[in-house]
Amino acid sequence: MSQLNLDAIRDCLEGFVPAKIATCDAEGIPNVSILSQVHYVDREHVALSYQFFNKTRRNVLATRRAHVQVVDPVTMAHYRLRLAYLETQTEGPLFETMKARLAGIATYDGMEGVFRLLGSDLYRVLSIERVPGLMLPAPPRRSLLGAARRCCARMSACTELSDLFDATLAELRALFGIEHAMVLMADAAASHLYTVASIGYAHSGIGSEVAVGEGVIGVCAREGVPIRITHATSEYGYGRAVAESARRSGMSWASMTEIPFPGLQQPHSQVALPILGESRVAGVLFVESTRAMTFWYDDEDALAVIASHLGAMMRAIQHEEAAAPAVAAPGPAPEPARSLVVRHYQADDSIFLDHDYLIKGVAGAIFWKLAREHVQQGRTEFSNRELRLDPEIRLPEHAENLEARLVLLQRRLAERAGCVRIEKCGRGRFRLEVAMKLVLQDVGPGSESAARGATQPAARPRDGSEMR
Amino acid sequence: MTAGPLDAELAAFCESGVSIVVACRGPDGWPIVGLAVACAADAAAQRLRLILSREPNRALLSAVAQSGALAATFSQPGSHRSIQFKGGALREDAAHPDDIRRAAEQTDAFCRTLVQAGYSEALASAYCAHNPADLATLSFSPSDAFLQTPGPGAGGALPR
Repeated sequence: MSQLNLDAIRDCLEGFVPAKIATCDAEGIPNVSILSQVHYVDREHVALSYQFFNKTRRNVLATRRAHVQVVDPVTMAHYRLRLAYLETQTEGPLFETMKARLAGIATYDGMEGVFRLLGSDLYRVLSIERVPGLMLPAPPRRSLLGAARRCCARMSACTELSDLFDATLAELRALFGIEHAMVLMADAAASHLYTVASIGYAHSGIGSEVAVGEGVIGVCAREGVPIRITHATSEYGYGRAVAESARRSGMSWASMTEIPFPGLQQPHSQVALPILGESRVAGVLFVESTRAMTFWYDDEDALAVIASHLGAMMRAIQHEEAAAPAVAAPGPAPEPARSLVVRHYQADDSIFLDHDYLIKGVAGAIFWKLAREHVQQGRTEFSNRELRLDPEIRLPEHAENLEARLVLLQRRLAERAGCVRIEKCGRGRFRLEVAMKLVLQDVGPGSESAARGATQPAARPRDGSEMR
Repeated sequence: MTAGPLDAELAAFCESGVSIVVACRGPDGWPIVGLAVACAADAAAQRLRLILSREPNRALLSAVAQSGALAATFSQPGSHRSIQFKGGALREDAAHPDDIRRAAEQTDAFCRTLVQAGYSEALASAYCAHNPADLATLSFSPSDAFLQTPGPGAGGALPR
């Protein structure tokens, strides 16, 4: 490698100014063309997008040599890279990362539907040469490293998951100027992610879901790699993900239990970063902007550090909360005057409070247990530990995100601003605060279709009588 | 009139202020890429005269004498129309006043196209900047032309 390394010219690989590529065939006849994408892989490797089986590709396969000219989009400095072809990847993280970015580049170039990634051609960078010519002065850079350090320090001071999510998003806004962001947790069993925190949207979208593999967020979760798009692309829009998820679950039921995804209507730049759990993707940190070219390679690095720290802090907090002791059942609380119908559908553990949808899945099962024990035993205080051990809640095998589901439930209840709330009352413990008399209705799987309409009369409870 | 792929319409396209990328084979067998700033296209003579800055293209200019073959791709941002010419009978020459005038006119036009495509004035001007005193020319006779506009038909040879 020459002294000029790839890290120093990463901005050239953002796809703003198209690169140029020269190759020769086996007889030495040159070929030259425009290149959509030169992707930074690491300090010594780039990957070029293989979209068409053209002369460039035939030459590369024959000679394994390419000479590429790239341009810095800020200084307009030109560089030439001598590249040795290594291999082509047609699936996996590198391929998916490039596919998403190419979709963004295609939108920017007015080439949506024409640019399609067939493979990621991996090259070793043998040399980098600065081409003599005019170079504009580079403006002073923000210290992303300093911002990442301060953000991580603030996150480290959090002792509860809910605070951790909020502090992370608040610091992204304060230190990075990121106006729109969210944290989503993975539900591996259900192959989707659910939103637990967000900033910068008209509706918080807490509880909204994204299917794994769909859009920027879903692909990030599936592949476990950051996905960054510098220009809007409908191919990775979340409209599709939402529509797909609605289609899968059946439109009428879906329309009642679908919480609208909060994302921007017209995003121009997006980054999704995996939050790694102990052995899998535990969630996704997602940021977006209404401006194109907002997030560059360096922003992705800084955000990846924050997402990584978020994952580590989540594990630390969850382990502490899981170790907290169980809570003894207190005596019954005074009976409030007004009542609230809590309806539970066994088919998907969805919960409705009167006629309003609250939550479903694991968080729904948790709420149903709390409501039942509150009504039957007068309990108000619970521990995370007892939920974790309760066989009725059917936690997935990797149950480390129980706390994240409690955050989700707590926030859905808080947003409803109703008469049921969950408040923390110590490490690994929380209190169910109920200002109304709960009337429980448990709907078995066989009766769901008749009972599901929000305007339908309430289904007959499973045990034939209202539980109090 | 010599037979070849360069017709009047293609000649006008090549001179309209577009991106011009050039390549030849270096003495060590590796390809060399470079940029030209303008072009004079003579359809009657089937001759393309590329105008390019000497300093940034020193390796390419020294290699063309030995390599004997040249490729040049002309691309228009926005429309993405892209045509590649390949040929030989190369000749390097000093830039004449006409070449310098062409370079100024065509880079001005290209600069306007870049601004329309979303570049700021400052970036477009920097991209098109060249030193008239540093210009050289590289002439060749295209034997083949290929359509390189992305999409169906890309890579196809144009009629000769």
